[in-house]
Amino acid sequence: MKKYLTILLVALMATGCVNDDTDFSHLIDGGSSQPDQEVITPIDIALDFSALDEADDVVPTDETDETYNDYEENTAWSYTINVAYDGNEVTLSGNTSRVRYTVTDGHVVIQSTSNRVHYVLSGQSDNGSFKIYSENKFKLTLNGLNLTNPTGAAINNQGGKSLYLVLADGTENTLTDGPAYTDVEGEQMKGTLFSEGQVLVSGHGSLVINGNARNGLVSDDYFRFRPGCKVHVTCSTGHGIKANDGIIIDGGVFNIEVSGDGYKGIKCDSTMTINGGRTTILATGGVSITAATDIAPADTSSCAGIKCDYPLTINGGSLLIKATGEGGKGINNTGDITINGGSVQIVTTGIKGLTSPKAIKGDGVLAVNGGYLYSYSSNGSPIDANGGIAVAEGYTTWETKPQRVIISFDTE
Amino acid sequence: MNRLIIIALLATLLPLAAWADDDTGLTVGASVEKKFNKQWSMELEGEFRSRNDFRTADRVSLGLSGAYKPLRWLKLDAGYQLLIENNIEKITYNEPTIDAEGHEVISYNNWRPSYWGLRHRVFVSVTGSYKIGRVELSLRERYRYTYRPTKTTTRYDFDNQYWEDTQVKSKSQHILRSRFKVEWDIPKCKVDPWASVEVFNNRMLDKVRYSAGADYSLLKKHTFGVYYRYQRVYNDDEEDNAHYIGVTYKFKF
Repeated sequence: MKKYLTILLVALMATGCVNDDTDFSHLIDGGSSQPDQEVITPIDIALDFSALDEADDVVPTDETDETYNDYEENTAWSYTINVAYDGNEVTLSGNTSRVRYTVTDGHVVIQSTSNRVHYVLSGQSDNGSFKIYSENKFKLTLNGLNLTNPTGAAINNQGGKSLYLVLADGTENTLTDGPAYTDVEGEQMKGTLFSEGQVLVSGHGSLVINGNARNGLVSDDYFRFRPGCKVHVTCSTGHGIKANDGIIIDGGVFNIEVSGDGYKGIKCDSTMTINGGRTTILATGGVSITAATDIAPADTSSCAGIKCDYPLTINGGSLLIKATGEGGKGINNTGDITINGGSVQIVTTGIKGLTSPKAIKGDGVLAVNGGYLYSYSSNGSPIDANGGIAVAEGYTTWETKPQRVIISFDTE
Repeated sequence: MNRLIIIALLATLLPLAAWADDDTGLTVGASVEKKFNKQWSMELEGEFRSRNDFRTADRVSLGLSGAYKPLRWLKLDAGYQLLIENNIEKITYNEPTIDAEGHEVISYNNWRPSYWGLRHRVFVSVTGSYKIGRVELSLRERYRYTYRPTKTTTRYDFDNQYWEDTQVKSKSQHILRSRFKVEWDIPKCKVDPWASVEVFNNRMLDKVRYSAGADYSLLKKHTFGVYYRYQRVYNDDEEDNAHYIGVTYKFKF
């Protein structure tokens, strides 16, 4: 018996001690099967609601300036209509004879052919909205408004002209939608604040957007955000800010949180330019999968801080992005990305799954001509620019590691 | 006599282990069985298994089961097993490309090395047996459910040349095992030879195990066993055809 036990013991000691993995030592780090990788702890990126010390912008006075009409100060607003919400009741006052309107509970619908009309919205309603059909540009001031529309957009501009959205100085305004929309045939309603025309945001107040059914802030034209405004978008069912024809951020404080699978903090189907302000985006959703059809294969889409289909240019301000979802991107751009100034800090911590996480993914060139770039991806590439990376002369730091790239033109 | 049977059994089986393309491994099992009465019993069992021609540890398991015999020829049992498995490596390849000379080039995409992970397993089974003289025939039907929790491990990305975390997603498996066994109780001999064939079904034929061995009883409380097993895999990516030498010990009280 002892003999058998001894044989068994020896056999046991001899078995099970060797790893049966393929030897990739000739391909991986010159010999170690699992080399120690330098562990880089990324910077912490979190929403930042603190005040930003920024100068007001200069309003162009030359009518030939292509941005002249983006400034509400260049229009003499002749008529003012006050819209005061109070629960299920709404009171309209002022030059109401200039428009036709209906009020149903807390829902106001304006039909306007008048020019130079200024609407001032205030008060609170849990079952209200402001919808407008205007043949001309108009100014919409939010003067302490808290508006929730359970069945659609809180503010819905069906006209294609400019909407000058002014956040009255020092006011806090909140718009909430959903959870279910009741659509009108032939009309679009893509988010909590939806506009067929361009939206030009100014003022020194704050705006909180809660997206519970579709997107947060949507224009089928373009957005311009001016210094002084504070915008906080939270959306679990769509993109935070979405524009068809461009986004210009001249200043302001932006905090954008998107948590749905495949959604973007900012989704811009045209060019995007950041000239100032502080934009912080947290994208935490995973991968969305679109099922295959007869004419198209299945597709996947990961979350991203910014998804832009045309050139993205950063001339100033701060852009901070953190994407934590599977395959999440910081910036995902099909055009060129140019950084001429400001500070761009991106961290992605999502795992590689159906798609690969990348801090910056571009199909064009990433050109860094100034400013500061910090790009980190814990499980993917910090930069993946198909057109290459072009860094102008004069940089003070250009550090490339597997997880992190830092390029700086700071002289301090 | 006993020694001769064991030597003869091993001598017969050893040539099978020489099949070149199949894996070989060792299983060592030990168990304690408590019989409460003629109908009820419980068993605590531990097992170690190796692979890669005995060189690599494959699995360690610990299980607890209970059995009930309502009739002399019928046994019902159920149990739970905790498996600690050394999951085999996984290598993926990029789509083939054509080089300048027209040759097809296949490159590595990712390599996830082997890693240790948990599995939870429960089973219920029913066994019917029939004696013809000294030979006992038995048929066991066992339903088995195995759950592998999600595990984060690492893999190497050959394209980008770095290590990254990767999640092996959770997985469930339902298996129906059908085992037919023949045991021979040799008169005045403490060694009882046996042979069995067991089919694993997972909607389609998963694998088949052919086993033959002998048990040696000592003082009715101790049972030592040795067996040879050939496992033919038909539909399981995680296992190969394999030959196993098994050693078992059971203590009954």
